[in-house]
Amino acid sequence: VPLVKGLGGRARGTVTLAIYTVAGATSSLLLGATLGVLGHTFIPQRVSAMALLATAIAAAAAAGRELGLLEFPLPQLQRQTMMHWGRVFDPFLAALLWGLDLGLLFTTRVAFAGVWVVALMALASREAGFGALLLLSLWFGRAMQVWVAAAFVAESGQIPTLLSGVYRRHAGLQRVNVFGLAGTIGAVASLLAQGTHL
Amino acid sequence: VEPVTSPRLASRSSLLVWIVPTPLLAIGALLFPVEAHVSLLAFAAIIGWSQLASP
Repeated sequence: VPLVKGLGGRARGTVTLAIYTVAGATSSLLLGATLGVLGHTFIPQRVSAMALLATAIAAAAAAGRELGLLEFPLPQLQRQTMMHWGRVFDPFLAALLWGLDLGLLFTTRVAFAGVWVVALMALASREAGFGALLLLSLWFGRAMQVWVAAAFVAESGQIPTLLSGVYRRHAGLQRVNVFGLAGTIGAVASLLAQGTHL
Repeated sequence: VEPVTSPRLASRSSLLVWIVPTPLLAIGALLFPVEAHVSLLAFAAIIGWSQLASP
């Protein structure tokens, strides 16, 4: 948790977190828009409902994996973001680099299968705008951890401790991921029932 | 820094796991019959929240 370890005072910490959040939002937005454009290019309009259905099936498989009912490896890079940036660079530059890196989502290790479903949804949407919004929402959920943790403690020095405690609650976070996937399936079912495309 | 075993911080970390997903789940579930697009964004945020992401 090097980002939150070096936050310093309240004003400096807020600027650092803001840089991290905006940088991640930028790379997530670009990734989402790119996925939307790729979907528009490679998924014909006539099969867009099928693509949506395939995403719901992928969400069900991902939920099954996280519930321990299915077993399959997630395609991912076994890489974490560069911890040493915090020692080598100014804290603001390090926050910028961490945000850009983590916002790209697949350049670092993926904890649960849900992120793949969001990426598939961006692809199936066939729209740069909606794809960007999806990945942006994912990023804001991810970045919010640090902001909410900061609001929960009296001193910024306690944030790493609190977040470490959260990260140890793997099963709880996995359940949250499954709830997100179940909701996604529900929303897709609703779209398909209404005959609406993304 | 307060140790991670501190009961107060431990209970806070437990609360923190659910404090954001709960309202987002409610918003997503309420909206999906009428505005499924917004629901999808809420559920994407929940999925993002669950990632062990902070560097």
